[in-house]
Amino acid sequence: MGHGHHHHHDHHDGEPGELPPLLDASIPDKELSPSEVSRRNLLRGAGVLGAGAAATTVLGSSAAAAATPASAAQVASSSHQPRGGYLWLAGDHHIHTRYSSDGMYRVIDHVRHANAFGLDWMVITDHGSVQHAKIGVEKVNPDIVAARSQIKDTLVFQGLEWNIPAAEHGTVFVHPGENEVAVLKEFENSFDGVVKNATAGTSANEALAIAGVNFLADAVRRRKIGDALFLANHPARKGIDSPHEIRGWRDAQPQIAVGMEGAPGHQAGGIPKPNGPGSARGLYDNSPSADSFAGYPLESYRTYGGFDWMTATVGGLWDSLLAEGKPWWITANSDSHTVYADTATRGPNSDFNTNGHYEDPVYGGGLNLGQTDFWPGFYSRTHVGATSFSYAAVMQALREGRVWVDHGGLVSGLDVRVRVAGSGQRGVPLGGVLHIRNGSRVELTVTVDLAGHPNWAQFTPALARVDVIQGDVTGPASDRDAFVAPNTKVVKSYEVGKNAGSVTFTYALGAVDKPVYLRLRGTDGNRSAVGLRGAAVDPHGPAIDALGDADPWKDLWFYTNPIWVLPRR
Amino acid sequence: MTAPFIVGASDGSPTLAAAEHLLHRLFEEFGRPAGAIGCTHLVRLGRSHVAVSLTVAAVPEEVPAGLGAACEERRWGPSDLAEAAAQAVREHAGRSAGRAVFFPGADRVTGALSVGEVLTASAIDEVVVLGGGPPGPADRFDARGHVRPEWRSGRLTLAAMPGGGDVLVPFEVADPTPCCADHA
Repeated sequence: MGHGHHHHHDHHDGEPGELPPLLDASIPDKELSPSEVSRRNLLRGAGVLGAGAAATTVLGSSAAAAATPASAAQVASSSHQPRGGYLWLAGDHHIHTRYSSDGMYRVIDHVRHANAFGLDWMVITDHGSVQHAKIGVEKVNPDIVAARSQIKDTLVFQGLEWNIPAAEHGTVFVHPGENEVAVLKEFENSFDGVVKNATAGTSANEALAIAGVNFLADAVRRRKIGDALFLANHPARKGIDSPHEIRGWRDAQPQIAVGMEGAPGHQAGGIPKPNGPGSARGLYDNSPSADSFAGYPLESYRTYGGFDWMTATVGGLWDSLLAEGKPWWITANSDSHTVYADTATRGPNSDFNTNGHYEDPVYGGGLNLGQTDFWPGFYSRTHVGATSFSYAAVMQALREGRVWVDHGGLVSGLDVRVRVAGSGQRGVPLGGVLHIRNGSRVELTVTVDLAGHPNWAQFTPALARVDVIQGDVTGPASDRDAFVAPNTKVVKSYEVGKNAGSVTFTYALGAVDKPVYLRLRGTDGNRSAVGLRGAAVDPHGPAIDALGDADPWKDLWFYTNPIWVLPRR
Repeated sequence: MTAPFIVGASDGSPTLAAAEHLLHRLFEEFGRPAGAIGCTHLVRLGRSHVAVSLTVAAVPEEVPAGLGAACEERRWGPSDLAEAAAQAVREHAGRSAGRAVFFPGADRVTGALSVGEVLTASAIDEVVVLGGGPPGPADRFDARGHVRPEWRSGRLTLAAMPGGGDVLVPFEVADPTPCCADHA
């Protein structure tokens, strides 16, 4: 939503978000009457209640949907339309504090900035490490608890940045509660790649990663914590998140392992010298190593319009999962450690190894022009469509894929719906599944609230173009290391060229007689290039970010998560 | 003129930088003939690590202790490292894979020059551009002090990418950001 102020009572579809109690995510079973519980269970069994898509696959049985945690409330099918509006809450699930060996700031420093820059929710994710497992994971908690009471309109989750055994980093976070520290601590001590000396790309370490995801699911199932989520961070940075590992995490626990960063943090990394670090955008400057997946091309190690290759490539790795019918969502975060052009330095007399944290930062007198990060909310935002302003609802919205992301405040709001044409239905939102009679005519409607006001670089971005990307859903891939979706391409582009007001498009899919999915992408139009799979697939995709010369404010994109359309056979 | 024999070697180096160190050490040990080529090779079977290959004037009589090595039919050292060394020899001989640290003209591909000059000054057969079409000979190139072409289908190929201001730069960065870099 808007910068600098909050719109917790905004509803894009103009209807209040009143849900019947049995459908309301925020109401646990024990607070319902016996008949309501019975009714809720019936809906669960029918696959109606719960994330329509966040199941085994969208092609899966209703039994899969029935496995949804009790907090689920979205109804995502043509026969049960979504009810009520969603609160679109902006957030960031990847933030480091002085409890990270490469961090610096207090928790409250990040929370105050994030709040000022318009974030509604955020996750503190200090690196898993020996010191963090022993000290930091506990000591950061009172800081987070204090921030929650001091800044009431930004939700502050505790998480950690997991060194995924055999792979990259990932955000793991939990619903607040009396066991939040205990569960995170046990998880870190049992499954962190660094703590367990399990970073090498061996099959034993890959299995440890799966065990970690299973541990989180078990902690939720046994009600040790209210909820837990895992998202892969900067997945293509070093080529060590192989396609089969990503599929492995997801398939092990599709309700826990829900997605990946579509865009990494460190977006100031490419600002040219002498005013910036002159490095790579996202700090994506690595090369293949012995631990990297041999099949990944060199292109995968760089960013495109600030986005990770897995997401930026139309018909690439992300699409290969969506084409399988596998819900796998993207996010965009700051990965904020040390902020570009900030004046602070680490506190003097710090001893991280002994204390597990740095002393409070102090004014350093200079400008940190070599730093690569922005404050949370300053540049990267993950917008989730929540059913209420609550920790549970944010987590559930992430799980259900009601998520879109943007850089630099490119747009203010999106309402994306897919429905049977002419039906008068409101339609299925992002992350959802529209079930139709075979051959029904289907349409996608998109309303874009343009930027309307200046971003944090003090200009109002203009949206130049919106692209509709469509792919066939072809079922589970026989090759677990597949990273191509051959039938996904840009099917329609809309020119906009405005920075205020709103615009609405309707894209007619025509009669749909096979499973498909749709997703959207938009740009300021400043930098475009033919996509990596050719002009017939993507005539004007994001361009590769130049090494040492990638001004993030001059190359803005938004991406949405997908919506599936499944004809009944 | 390429020397006639290829030695493969491995000490289990986990990184490219460690393997480059081994290459330097072995060229000192065996001598570096004119036109020598020295490469790193990613080994992904068994314990993943980086092996090396280098051209030498004669089959070595012996290799430094602890090293796995291969040359022609000979093998030295621990069998897993010797097998990795043999893989490096096969890739180098077949020009199918391997990232060249030493190659003819490497000392002339420094600083700013054109793509055409890169090709005439060195053994690099081809420059390819990530996220773009083939470059023209007049396109500007800045070596940034670190050029590591690789064997692709028999051709020594340098991957380049935009470095800003219409200048191409090598894909590979000399000092990439390590994991959990200390940015502060």
